[in-house]
Amino acid sequence: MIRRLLPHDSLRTRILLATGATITLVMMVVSWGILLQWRRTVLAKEQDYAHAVVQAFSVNALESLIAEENDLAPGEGSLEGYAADFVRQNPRLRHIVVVDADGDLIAGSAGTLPASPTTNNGGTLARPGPVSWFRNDGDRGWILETELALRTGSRHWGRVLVGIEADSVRRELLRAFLLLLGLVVAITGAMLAVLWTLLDRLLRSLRDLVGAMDRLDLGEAGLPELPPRADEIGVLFRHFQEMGQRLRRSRRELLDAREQVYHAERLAAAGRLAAGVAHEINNPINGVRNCIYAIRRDPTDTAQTLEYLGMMDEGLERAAAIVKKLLGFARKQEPARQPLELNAAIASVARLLSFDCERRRVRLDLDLAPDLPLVTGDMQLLQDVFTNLLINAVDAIGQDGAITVTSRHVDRQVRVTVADDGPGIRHEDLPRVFDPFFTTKAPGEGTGLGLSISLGIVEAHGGRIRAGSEPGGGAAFIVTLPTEDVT
Amino acid sequence: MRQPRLWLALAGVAAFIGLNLLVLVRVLDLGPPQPPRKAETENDDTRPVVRVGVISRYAPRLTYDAYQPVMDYLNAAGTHRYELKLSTSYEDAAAQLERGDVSASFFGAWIYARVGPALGLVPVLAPRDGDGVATARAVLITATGSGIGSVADLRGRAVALASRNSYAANWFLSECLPGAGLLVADLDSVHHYSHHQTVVYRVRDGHHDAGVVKEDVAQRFDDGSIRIVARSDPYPGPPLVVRGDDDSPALAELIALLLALDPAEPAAARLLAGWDNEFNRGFARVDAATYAQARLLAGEVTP
Repeated sequence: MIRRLLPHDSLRTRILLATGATITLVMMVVSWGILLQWRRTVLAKEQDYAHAVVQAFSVNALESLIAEENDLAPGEGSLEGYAADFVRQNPRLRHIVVVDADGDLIAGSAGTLPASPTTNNGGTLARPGPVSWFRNDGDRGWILETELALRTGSRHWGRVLVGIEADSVRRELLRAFLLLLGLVVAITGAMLAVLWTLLDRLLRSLRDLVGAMDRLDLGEAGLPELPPRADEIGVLFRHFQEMGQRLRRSRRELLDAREQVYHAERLAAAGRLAAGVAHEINNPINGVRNCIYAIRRDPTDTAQTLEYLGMMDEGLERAAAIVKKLLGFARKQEPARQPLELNAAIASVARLLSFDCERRRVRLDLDLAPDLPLVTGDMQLLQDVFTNLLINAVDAIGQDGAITVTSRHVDRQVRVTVADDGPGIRHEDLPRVFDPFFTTKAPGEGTGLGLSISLGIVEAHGGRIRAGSEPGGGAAFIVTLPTEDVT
Repeated sequence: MRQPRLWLALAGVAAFIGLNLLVLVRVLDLGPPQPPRKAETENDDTRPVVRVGVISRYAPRLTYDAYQPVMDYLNAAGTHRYELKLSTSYEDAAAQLERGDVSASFFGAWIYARVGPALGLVPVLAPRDGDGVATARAVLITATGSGIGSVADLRGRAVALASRNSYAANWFLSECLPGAGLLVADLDSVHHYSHHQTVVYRVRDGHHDAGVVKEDVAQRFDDGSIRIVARSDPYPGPPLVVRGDDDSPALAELIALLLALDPAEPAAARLLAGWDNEFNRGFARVDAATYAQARLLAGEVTP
């Protein structure tokens, strides 16, 4: 329960503990000060009372002693009776004792002479006024004793010793202590409760803010709603929402920039493909030209003409398909998500690059698994990925080499590896090959965006792409995409 | 991290409880025994005792308060130990002198004048007044604002007097009233009190319209509550009397020490300042002739 209310490491626990300790300490010190001051006042009041009692009694005691010495005594034992009567009339009195100048007990309500610092040594008090002290008299409890010397001028007649019960004083002091302690606990508890409530409201606001941060969507969804407040938390809320709006603007600008860069990269890739495309188109065009030449040479041969016309149509369709593919590569298209065969995408890209490979005497081997499951995604974008990887491999090899593209079904994933036998990637460059604008090509030969864009496309499809290389031992890029049933 | 914080919290709670227990013990312990005080041993004076008698006109304690400083001075300056001895009447005082219980005795002026010579007592000293001579005065007082401006205004008024044996009361009855053409019967009432202070108190609080006391007593009430209406001629002060045949060295020392007090000397003035008003101007020598006039007024008792 306590751990739930006050978790160990929470801000609230720390504040409550620190504040509680401080408040408690301050309250305790103040309470002790009040208590000790009050104790002094109570004890002084008790001593004043004792002084008044002993002085009141001493008047008659002195009169009696003087009268006795001068044979004026009203009667033997009068002082004894007076002392007993005095005790009866003052319920808090425990004893009254009168001793003569030699310290001998001459009258009193106590049967024996109570112990005191002076009464048992036959001496006189060093001070003329009343002297008080508290002492614990065992079963009789605490007693406030007050002694007064009976004097006329320098003549010492004896002393009066009065004992007043002091247990009631201790009870009063105990009540005061408990009252103050209760106040300390109550006030500290009340202040901590108020502080706990305030902290709870503050932390709830912070949790609302954290929740809003978690829900923050920089896309088209609106910013999370936070309750309007006029205090500092409200200012924090407003600043958070302004920050969210700025992030959304920045994200839109970033997406626009990425789109433009991507398009530029695709145009650059299209330029690289142009040679291959031209070769692809040239073949059907040459075929058509040969067919036209054959038809012109013998236009009457209807069967041959029909055959050649069919071949021309087929050649033109092939050229049209190549042009259409090229146009599709360069044109911006909305990404689509549909089941597709990754082998087909790889084969298509390989065909487009085959002329370039032949021109550089680079052997392009496709080792594609026949039972490869479908993946979900955009055919165009994934073709772009493999185009970038193959172009990078060809560029890395330069002349005379081999590229192997392998596709496999592994653990509900499709893994495509593009490996080349080029010079490989330097170890220190490996962590940066997917960074935007990172390139090892000569200036003007690469933008450094191909791999970065490819990484974004693969991750957008829920997959991963990583690079591996052994210096001097070629490089390999592995693309892993979830199969359709997973996505 | 959790464990140290837990221990810290437990230590805080333990400190809270421990400190409060300490405070509680401190609060409830009403105090250690008083530190042993230096005790003076009672007077172990072994010198020969000389007792001085006083007719207790006041409460015994007040009498001691007034006369004990004189004894303290004698004890400090003399070679004997001087002690007071109270008596309740002049007969007792005379008997004490006769028996040798006391070497000297303070008498009232009226008492001495009336019975002293017949008892064979001799006055040797009397307190000085403001003029430095051994005389006193009686005064008629009234409460401020009473409307009494002279003795003649006392007709039909209640008057408080001191003891019947006081010179002041007898001066009022024998000289003051007749001097204003009044008799006791012209007064509403006359009441005697044992002590001069009581007369002042009763006049001041309105129980009586006027009162007669010794002037030095009236001077103690200089707070404006009473007013002096009439004043007697000087009369001899209350004497210290001795037996006529006592020529002991102790008595000689007693007389010499009291006469040695000269208020003009700073040390003596400081000493006298703490004495009762009756004695704080020192003493002057008197003899039987000093009281001749008083004896006439008092109607001296002759054997």
